[in-house]
Amino acid sequence: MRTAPLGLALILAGAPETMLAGEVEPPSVAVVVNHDSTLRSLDAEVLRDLYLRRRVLIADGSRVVPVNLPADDPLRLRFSQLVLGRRPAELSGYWDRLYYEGVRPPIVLPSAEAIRRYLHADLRAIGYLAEEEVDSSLRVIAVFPPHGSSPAATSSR
Amino acid sequence: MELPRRRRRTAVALRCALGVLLTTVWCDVGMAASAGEEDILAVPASSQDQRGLELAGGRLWVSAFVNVAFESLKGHPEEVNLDDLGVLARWDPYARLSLFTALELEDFLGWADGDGVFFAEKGPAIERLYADVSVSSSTTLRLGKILTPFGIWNPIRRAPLTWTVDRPLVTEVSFPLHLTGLMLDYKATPGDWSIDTNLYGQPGGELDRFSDEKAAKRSLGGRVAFGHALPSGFATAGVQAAWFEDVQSDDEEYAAGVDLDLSVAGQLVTSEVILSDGEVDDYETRWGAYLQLVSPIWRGLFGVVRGEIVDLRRSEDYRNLVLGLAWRSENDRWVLKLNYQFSGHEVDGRSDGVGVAVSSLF
Repeated sequence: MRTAPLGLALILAGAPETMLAGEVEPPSVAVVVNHDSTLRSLDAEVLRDLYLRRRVLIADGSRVVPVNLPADDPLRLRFSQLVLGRRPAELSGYWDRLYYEGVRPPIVLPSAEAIRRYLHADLRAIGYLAEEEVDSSLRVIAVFPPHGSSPAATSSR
Repeated sequence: MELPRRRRRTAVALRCALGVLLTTVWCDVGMAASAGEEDILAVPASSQDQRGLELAGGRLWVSAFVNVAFESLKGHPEEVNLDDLGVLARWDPYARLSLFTALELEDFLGWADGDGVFFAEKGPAIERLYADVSVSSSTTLRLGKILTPFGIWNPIRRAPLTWTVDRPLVTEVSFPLHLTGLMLDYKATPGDWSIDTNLYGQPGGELDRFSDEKAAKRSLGGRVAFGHALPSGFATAGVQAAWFEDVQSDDEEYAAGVDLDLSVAGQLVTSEVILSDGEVDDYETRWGAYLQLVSPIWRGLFGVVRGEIVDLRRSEDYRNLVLGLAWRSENDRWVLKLNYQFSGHEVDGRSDGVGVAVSSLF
């Protein structure tokens, strides 16, 4: 079993508030790629840069295509705060500036199922899902647990 | 009017280059369409975050922007002007290569009190045309005509991205607004920080120069910007310097500056301080600075306040205060701006009065 080494020290924000009695615990966020992808792990800084389109290549020179859930999806909100340090709405000015250079934000797909289908079709793609929605066709390269802002090292699936 | 032979050759070469580029892009789009490749974008995508039109499996992106402005300034006739109409296109043929262009029609169509309707005196101009080559995952070489990466305002100069009808004077007169040459861009992300560094140089004249802009025969400069997340926002601070040989005066000039871009709990603070020895309306400038605050009022409505001062060596200081409102549509496509500006005395056509603008980046 291959282990994904994740020295992911996360950006600030996103430290979950104390759970109230009866409140449903949020799911862990799993960062995933196609199982046949050459990508085994990513630093938190690289993941952030890829989703902010500050970089499009990873160290081996291959292009990575990040995909997002819709801006109002609870998992997107959580991922955005944990990884990017800002909510999607706070990034609108940032994206406007990049649009002016022709750099677009990550592709937005409507559902977890769409993310799965996209990752199956494109080896370059990287996405995130609730951990329980990950199937064996995907490789998990990072998991952000429900409580705590740092990802746990995880076995690839 | 007869163009000088050298400019004619440049114009012909430019059109040929654009023609080859467009033909190649067209072929690329055609091949992508006819290859029957699996359309992974067939998954219905939300358009909420997306602008423009993607073609050729996402390798080609096309967008446009427009701005219509009305100004009633003291000492000037009232004027309505379709003053920005542009097209943006980016093509990513290879993982390490991207090509980008922005073509623009300035002062395309307008009406001025007393003068009636007027049209653009020249056709579309090349605002930007460059190739990005990814040298590594964090280093990019940019080659071509670009907006000089000096400060905050100049790289985002177009109306849909700004909060006021006019830009601060100091961002327009202190340094060349474009450069045609080479820029090396390096991005680092140590821990929670983001650091963007660039060095640039222009060895000769500017490609398809905008005649009313400050421009250089040669230039050299660089910028470093540091970014860090805050508990409820983000801050970026930059420092830069540029040396250049001015096209109009033939003089060697310099500009140096610092800037701050702060977003905290929805409040936006932008400021630039620039030292320079440039000229505006025959006054030498020594330094200038502006501070702009943008605060959300209700839904897409924002209040805007900006104060600016420019030290002019042979005249009293230029002081300008802009009070305004800006409304951004829910999908963020349209921006409506209403400004009133108070100017101590007129410099570069800026005097007391009202400005209204509607703009969009599609």
